[in-house]
Amino acid sequence: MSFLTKKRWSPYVGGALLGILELVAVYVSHHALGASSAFTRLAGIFEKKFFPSHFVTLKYYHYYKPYIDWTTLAVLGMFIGGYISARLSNDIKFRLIPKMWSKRFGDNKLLRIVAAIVGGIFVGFGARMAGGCTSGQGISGGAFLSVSGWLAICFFFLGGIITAFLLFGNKDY
Amino acid sequence: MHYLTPILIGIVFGFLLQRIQITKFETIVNVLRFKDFTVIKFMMSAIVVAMVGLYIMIEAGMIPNILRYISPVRIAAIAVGGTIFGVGFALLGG
Repeated sequence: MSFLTKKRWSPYVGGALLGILELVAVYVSHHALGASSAFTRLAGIFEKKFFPSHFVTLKYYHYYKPYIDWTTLAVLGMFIGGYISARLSNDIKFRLIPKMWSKRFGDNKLLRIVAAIVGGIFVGFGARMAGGCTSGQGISGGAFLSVSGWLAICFFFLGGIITAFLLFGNKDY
Repeated sequence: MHYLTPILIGIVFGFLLQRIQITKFETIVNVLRFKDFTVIKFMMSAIVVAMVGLYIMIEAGMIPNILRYISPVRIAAIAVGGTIFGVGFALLGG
């Protein structure tokens, strides 16, 4: 059972397994894999509870009704699965600043926190505007050969490549 | 069962993401700088396997109403939103 404790699996094997998981999800649950809409549901639940008068004016929540749906539960599972995997392979480290970041920008905690929060907001906002994230539009949309999925993949990488080179250049860290 | 299926599927998904090391800042930023192709290998293997399987299932009539899985082509929204996502992708590294 050494593969269960091995730190890193081949991305080809892992990818093939994820492909099979997509088939299982579609066949068993009639749902494609995705993640970002879970945060829409949670935001909807939050707004409905705390800002009900504002909530009713938002048309977006007519399409994404505020309840714990399939994807929200799947995202919950993702946290659990990630933890199990890291635990089994003894790969849990609590590090606020990634090594590569500190080599480039130093150990300023606040700078990293601000960058991560801004990055997180961009990821969330951008994913919902583009109709999904790297899972929903990328892997599921890509596998269904959907035009919007492949278009989204192009722009995810376009924005990402430009930003990564602007931040880190071409140097090896 | 109703609640358990997505949680179990999510657990496997999260397990794979962690085990491929896609959850690491360096893995994400370095695919965007063409230095580490783990993300591409992982994503494209997943897409290829799922694609072949899905279209076999579609041919076999196992997936009625394929359109419910496909989001509409809103070019401007995808271009702007996708680029914004990409910027965050590189900043956050996730």
